[in-house]
Amino acid sequence: MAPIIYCEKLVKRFGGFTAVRDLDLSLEPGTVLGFLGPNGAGKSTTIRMLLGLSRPSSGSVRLFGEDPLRNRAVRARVGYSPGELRLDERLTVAATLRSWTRLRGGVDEAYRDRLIERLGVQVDRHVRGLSTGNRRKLALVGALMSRPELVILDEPTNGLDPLVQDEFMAILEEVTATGTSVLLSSHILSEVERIADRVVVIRAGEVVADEPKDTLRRGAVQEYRAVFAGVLPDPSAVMALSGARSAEAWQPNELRIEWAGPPRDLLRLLAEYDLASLTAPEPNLETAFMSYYRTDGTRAAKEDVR
Amino acid sequence: MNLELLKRGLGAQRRGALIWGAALLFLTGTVLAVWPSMSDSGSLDSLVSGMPPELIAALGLESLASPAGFLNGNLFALLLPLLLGALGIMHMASLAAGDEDAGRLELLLALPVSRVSVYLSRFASVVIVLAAVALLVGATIVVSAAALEMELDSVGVIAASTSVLLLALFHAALALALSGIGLRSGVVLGATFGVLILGYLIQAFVPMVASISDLVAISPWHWALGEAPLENGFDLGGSALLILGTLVLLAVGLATIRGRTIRTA
Repeated sequence: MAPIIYCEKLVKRFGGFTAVRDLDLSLEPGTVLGFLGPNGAGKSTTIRMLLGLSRPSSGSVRLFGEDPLRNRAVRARVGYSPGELRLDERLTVAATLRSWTRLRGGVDEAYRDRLIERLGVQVDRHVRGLSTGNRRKLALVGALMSRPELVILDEPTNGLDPLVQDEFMAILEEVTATGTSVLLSSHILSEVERIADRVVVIRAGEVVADEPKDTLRRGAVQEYRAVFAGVLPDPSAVMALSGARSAEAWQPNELRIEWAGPPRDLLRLLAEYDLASLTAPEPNLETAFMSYYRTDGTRAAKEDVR
Repeated sequence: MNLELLKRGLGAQRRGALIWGAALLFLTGTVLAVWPSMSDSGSLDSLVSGMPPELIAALGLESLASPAGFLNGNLFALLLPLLLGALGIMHMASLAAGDEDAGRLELLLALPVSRVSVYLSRFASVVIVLAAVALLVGATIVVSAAALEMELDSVGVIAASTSVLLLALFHAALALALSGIGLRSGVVLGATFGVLILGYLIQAFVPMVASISDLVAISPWHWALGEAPLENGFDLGGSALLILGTLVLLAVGLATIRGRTIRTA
C-alpha cells in the first residue's frame, strides 16, 4: 500500500530563515509515527504543510497520494488537533462541535458523545470561558469524532491534567488498535514511547533520526555506573575506546561512563579491574532523544547510533 | 458557498450589525424628525448662505430646502455611504484577515472545506448584513416621507440606497481582496478606509479644479452618487461599474487565498 503521508525533500523558508530543510517523511498505513523535536524544530511547520495550510518552498508533500493544498476532499480523511489552538470564542462548546460536525460530515455521533464523556468535555460552556486544558479536550474530540483514517496530533496533551492525559492516551491506543494511522508530534517522550511504532527526530528543521522505536532506544547513549573494590581504571583509558562519550571518576570508587552502542569493549576493560558492581538504567527514548540534542554536532551522534 | 459557513459569518456579525443598524436608523430618524420644523421656518437655505459655493457643493448642500436636497445633504452625500462603508469594511476585514491573524482559520481550513468557499460564504454574509441595513434605512425614509408629507420620489430613495449599498460592498470586496493577498487586518483596515475617504475627497473636491475635474471619474463615490440617484433614480452605468469592480476584487481575493500559506497566530 502507498504511504499515507509522503514528504520528499520538503523545504519551508520564511524570509531568510529555513524552518524545514530537505525533510523526508513517510507514514505507512496503520502505523503510529512519533514526531519528536524541541520547540521550534519545525514540527508544526511540517504538519501545516501536510494539511495544506502552508505552501512548501520546495519539495513535495502528499497526503493519501494527493496534494493537500489542491485537494480539499483529502482532508475529510484526516483528523487534526493543532498545537497552537485558536477556537472561535463566540461559540459555545456544543455549537462548536455542531459546526464541525456539519462542516466535516460523516461524524459518528454516538462515538463523539462517548469521547465527550470520557474526556469530560463540558458542552454547555462558552468557549471563551474555557481553560487551556478544556479547549484542548474539545479539539481532541473534534480530531477523533469522525473516526478518520489518519489522526495528526500536534502536542495533543499540552495543558491536560495527568488523569485526562492518561485517558486520552488510552483512547489513542484503542484508535490505533483499529488500524488508524497517527502522526503524533510531541516533546513528551513518554507519550511517544507508549504508542509509537516508529520515531522521527527532527532538529533545526532536519531529520536527525528515523528509526523503529526499539532501534532508537537500543542505540541510545547509555550511562553505566561501575563501582570498584580496588583501584579505578583511568578515565582516559575508557575514553580511548570508540563507544565512549564521557568517563568520569565520581566517588573514590565509582566510575560513570556514557557509552553508545554495544558495551562489549567497555565490559572487557572493566573486567580487568576489581569490579564490585555495574549498573545501567533501562535505556529509554529520553536518553536516545537527548543524545541527538547534545551541543556537539548532530551528524556525529547520528552516525554513532547506527 | 457553504450554508454552515454563511450562518457562522452572520453569527459573527450579529452584535456589530445590531449596533450599527440601530445607529444608522437613529441617525436617519433624527434627520427626518427635524425636517418639518426646518422646512416650515424657511431658513434652510440661509444656513449655508455664508459658505463658499465650492464647499456647499462638496457637502451636497446645494438645495437644502427641497426634500431631496435636504436628505442628500444630511444623509446620502456623506454620512450614509461613510457609515455603511465603514460597517462593510470592518466586518469583512474581521472575517477575513482578522480571523487569520487570530489563528482561527487554522482549524477551519483543516476541515474538508475549500478556502474559496470560506471567503465566498463570508462575503455573502457581509452582503446580507449590509443589504439588510440599507433596506431598513431606505424603508424608514420612504415610510417617514409619506407620513411627513415630504415630496420625495420613492424610486429615488431606493436608487440612492442601492447606490450606497453597492459602494459599501465595493469597499468590503476591497477588504477581502487585500485579506486574500495576505495583509494583516490592521493594514487591510487602513488601506480600505484610505480608499473610502480618498474616494470621497476626490468626488467632493476635484470637480472644483477645472484642470483636473475629469479625475472625478476614478472615484467609486462618483460612480455611486455622481448622477444624483435620489433625484434622478437609478444610474445603470455607475451601478454597473461598482458591481464590476466588486466582482473583480472578489475574484482577486478568491484567487490569492487559494494557494498561499495561512498565517499562524
